[in-house]
Amino acid sequence: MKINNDTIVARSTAAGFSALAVIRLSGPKSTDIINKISNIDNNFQHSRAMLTQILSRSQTIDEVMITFFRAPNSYTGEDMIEISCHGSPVIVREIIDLCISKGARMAEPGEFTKRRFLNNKIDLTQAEGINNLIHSQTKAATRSSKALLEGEIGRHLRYIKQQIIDNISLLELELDFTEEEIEHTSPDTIKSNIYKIIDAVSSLIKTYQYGRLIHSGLKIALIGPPNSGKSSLLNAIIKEERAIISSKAGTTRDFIQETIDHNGYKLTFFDTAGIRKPLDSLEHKGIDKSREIINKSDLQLLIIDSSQDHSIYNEFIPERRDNILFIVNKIDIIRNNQIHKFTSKYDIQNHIEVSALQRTNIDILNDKIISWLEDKKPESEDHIITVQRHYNVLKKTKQELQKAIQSIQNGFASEFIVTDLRHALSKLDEILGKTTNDEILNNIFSNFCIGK
Amino acid sequence: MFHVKQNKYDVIVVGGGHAGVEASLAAKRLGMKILLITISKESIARMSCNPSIGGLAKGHLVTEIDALGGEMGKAIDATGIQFKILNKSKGKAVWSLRAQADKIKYANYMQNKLDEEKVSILEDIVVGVTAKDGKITGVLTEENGKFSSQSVILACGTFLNGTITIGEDQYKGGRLNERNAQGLTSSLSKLGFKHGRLKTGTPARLKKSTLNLDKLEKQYGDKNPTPFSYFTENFNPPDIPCYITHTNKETHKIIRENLDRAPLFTGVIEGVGPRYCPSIEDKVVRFEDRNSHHVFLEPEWEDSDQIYANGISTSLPIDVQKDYIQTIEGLENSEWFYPGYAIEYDFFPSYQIYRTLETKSIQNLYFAGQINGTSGYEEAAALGLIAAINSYFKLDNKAPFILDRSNAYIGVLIDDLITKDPREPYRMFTSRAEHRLILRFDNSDRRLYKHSQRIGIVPDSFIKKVEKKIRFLKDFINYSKDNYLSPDQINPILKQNDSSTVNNGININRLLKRPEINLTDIIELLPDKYRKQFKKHSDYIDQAEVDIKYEGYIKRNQKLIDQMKKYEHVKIPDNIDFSKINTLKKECVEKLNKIKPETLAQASRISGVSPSDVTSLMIYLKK
Repeated sequence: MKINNDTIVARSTAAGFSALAVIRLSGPKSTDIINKISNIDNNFQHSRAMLTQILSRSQTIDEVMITFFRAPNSYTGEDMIEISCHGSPVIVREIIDLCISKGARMAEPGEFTKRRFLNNKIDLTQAEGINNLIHSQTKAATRSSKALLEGEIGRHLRYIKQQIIDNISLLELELDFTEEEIEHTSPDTIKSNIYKIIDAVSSLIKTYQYGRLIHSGLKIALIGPPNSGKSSLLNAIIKEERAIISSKAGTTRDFIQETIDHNGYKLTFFDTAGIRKPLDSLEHKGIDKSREIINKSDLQLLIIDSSQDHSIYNEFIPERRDNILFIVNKIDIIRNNQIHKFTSKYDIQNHIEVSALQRTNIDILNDKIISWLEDKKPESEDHIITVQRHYNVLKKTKQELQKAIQSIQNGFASEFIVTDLRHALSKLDEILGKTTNDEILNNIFSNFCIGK
Repeated sequence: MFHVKQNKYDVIVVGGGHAGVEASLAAKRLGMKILLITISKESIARMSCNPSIGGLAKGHLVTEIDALGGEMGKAIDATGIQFKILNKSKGKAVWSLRAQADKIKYANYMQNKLDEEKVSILEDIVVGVTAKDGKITGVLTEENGKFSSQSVILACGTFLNGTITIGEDQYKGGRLNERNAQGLTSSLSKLGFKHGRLKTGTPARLKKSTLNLDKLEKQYGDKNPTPFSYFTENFNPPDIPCYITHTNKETHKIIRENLDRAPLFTGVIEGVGPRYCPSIEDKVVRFEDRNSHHVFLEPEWEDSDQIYANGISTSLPIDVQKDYIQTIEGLENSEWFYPGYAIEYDFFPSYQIYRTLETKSIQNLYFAGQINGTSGYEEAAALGLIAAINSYFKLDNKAPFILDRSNAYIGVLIDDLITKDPREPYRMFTSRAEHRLILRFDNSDRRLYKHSQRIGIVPDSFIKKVEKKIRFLKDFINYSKDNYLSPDQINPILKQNDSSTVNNGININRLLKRPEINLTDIIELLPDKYRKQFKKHSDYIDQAEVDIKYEGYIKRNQKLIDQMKKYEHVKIPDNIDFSKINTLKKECVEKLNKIKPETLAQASRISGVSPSDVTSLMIYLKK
């Protein structure tokens, strides 16, 4: 595998029509390529924007601003050029193709950041922060990514790590300096220390539920029997919100996916195919797909038409109700006592009454969705896990810490407890960088009087 | 004086301390033509500092030296005056053996051994080494001129430009009243070696007859002492006590009042001392909230009037030392043979040697002991032994002798030395060994017998004995997994040990995994062939118990070892230029170019080298 020997190119502003777009080139051939496709004539000055024309076979494609950044003082740490051109997708495409024809390669997603990381401009936590920054499309996710980037989460993780090191030190002290005049820490104290660390790790783990939602957006499945009004509700939601992010139309037998931005949160709705439709083979596929979507969704909206036969709703009412909102539709035509009958039959405490057709209470529905999400928000917004790798590492760290508790309960000697704690440490080290034995000895020497 | 000038040696060992002695004996036993050059024959194997061998992690080093064919374990078993297993309340992996030594008998034992084995010894001072085309050719001595040899092991301890400091006074010396070695440092510098300066200290030696020991707490050794050596039989050593007393507020007050005369703080002493062995003035300054520190009074030999005051090493002026010592309980009227002092000496940072202890820039030149920046008799002895073995293998065109971190504390010691840039004297700790659950002091024979066999110093009978033990343990562990004890048999024992009783037969292996149940509890229930062997060899019991009880941990550890093995086997070529790898950060390149790791695993252990650096390195090596 080669690293950094080639030159990559990509559009760095969001795709689609816009007034201006920025294309980035990074790698050793960046200046060569620009020399070949512009009239800049090798007149590159670090960090200075210069006006030039992009030419293809002597024809001007666009008038652009070029900014050159000399390695290592660039975002990626390599020679880098930013081309600021007009925002038409056709122009952008043509300039990128031109760069590729002169020796650049289309960048893979996140590759600029990867190079930045590989050239040691940033550490792994920061790289992941930037990665989140790039991928997050909404305000809340931007806030969380920034915290990650500025090391809030890094700081918190380092604090947890220091707690582990301190307890390792207490135990090592007992093992390696048994002849010293130092009072050793009782297993009970170590145990309660470890419990405290587990608590800190656990609450961080819990934040991922929220962190993941604000980062990748909320997946919402619209469920309910045919004719309950799922599609009309989805239409109503889209029409209410001007900021539609994407729209993916499927066949009626497949599913429909719509993403909107509501108060800075990314919400993606899936309209599932009716589960009770006749079972031809294509239909079958649609049903499998809808089950899959329901399983993968974070929140389900059950659309209720209480004028229908209530028993067809049996299969839609889940036992656990923490991930479902009950939407009573068609309030323009259905009477209150009918609604009441339904809600008392299924013991539904909180429901939202809407009319998809009349677009009544759609904003209330959206707000309910957001408040469902915000209920999950942890106390401190600075300490939110948004990266799956961090989440996995913390889960493993917690397991090792629990093993240490078990070892203490089994009456194992300190060297085994230390072994468990060191395993926990090495898990955290996967994000924070390795801890050497010397660091632990240093911690001991600076806190305890050793030396008989 | 020998007339040895014309001889050509296989190896010349410079220095007769603990490294030099092991190196000389091993070289001789391997059949090499060897010359040991020392300043003074009568100070061979002298213990310059505390009168003890072993201790935490160091005890492990001694049994490893023993299993590989070294002498230290046998010597201390024959001459020790108090033996004790430390950490006995903890698990067996961190048990460690420590012995008070009879300094006179210990040195005599080693000197006699060298005589017995007819090691040629020359009293002289080596002032330089000679080399040609990057290869060692011999040494230059002060009185006898040049000696040529195929290889040279430098084991000169604290003698290289040694400077002794007591208060305002400084002397040149390698130990108090012994001259130092000059010239060698500059000779090595001319060959391109970098050197640094370290410091260590030692406390006053008090006159026992002037101490009031009656009121002090006595410390004895174990009732049933354990020997270090696998070869020691009929072990019945004396058990002479040490005494414990304490410094107090008055002691600390005197020290504080005289800090302006403490060379450690006035800038007179420049060498870096060990933080795990600070002088009393350092302790008083750094831990000012403490009003008292332990002082262990240790006899230096049997019936000795000379007492080592462990815990108050110092370089304060003589009058201050006298004053503060006399504030300590039991020492009110004390007199001394000599005061405490600090010694500074040259060392050669160990990134300049390979894993074999051969230097990177001069072939067949080896560094062993404190010259590498280590401290301690045990660390020195281990390095002396390994240097001799490797000089032998190299001259014999055999593969080098390498112990890795999962084999032995010696492996940890050497790997640490070559991947670190030590700022203070290096001492072994169990926490340095990530595989310490496997590296126990009592299983050095099982861990190392194959290596011992290859080296060939230990007798065949030893190898056979270890193989027999390993076979037995394997057999017993299989038996324990396949066999059960009935509730009738086991419940009374379980009750006795506060362990929950069983309704059905219980698997022996699972039974022994209960922390409260020991093998000795059920020994009478085992078939004859096991019971008899266990009763005959008490170490079989310990080993079987550990193997069963901690099986899970041991297996997990083994997995880590196997993972690391992949990296251990990726060699990094000698001539690599790390600055060519542009994904490495500058700090990392500097470290790698300085330390020049031999394998990818070593590189991964260098501080400042991150996992992503290791990945970059791996990618580069694969290209």
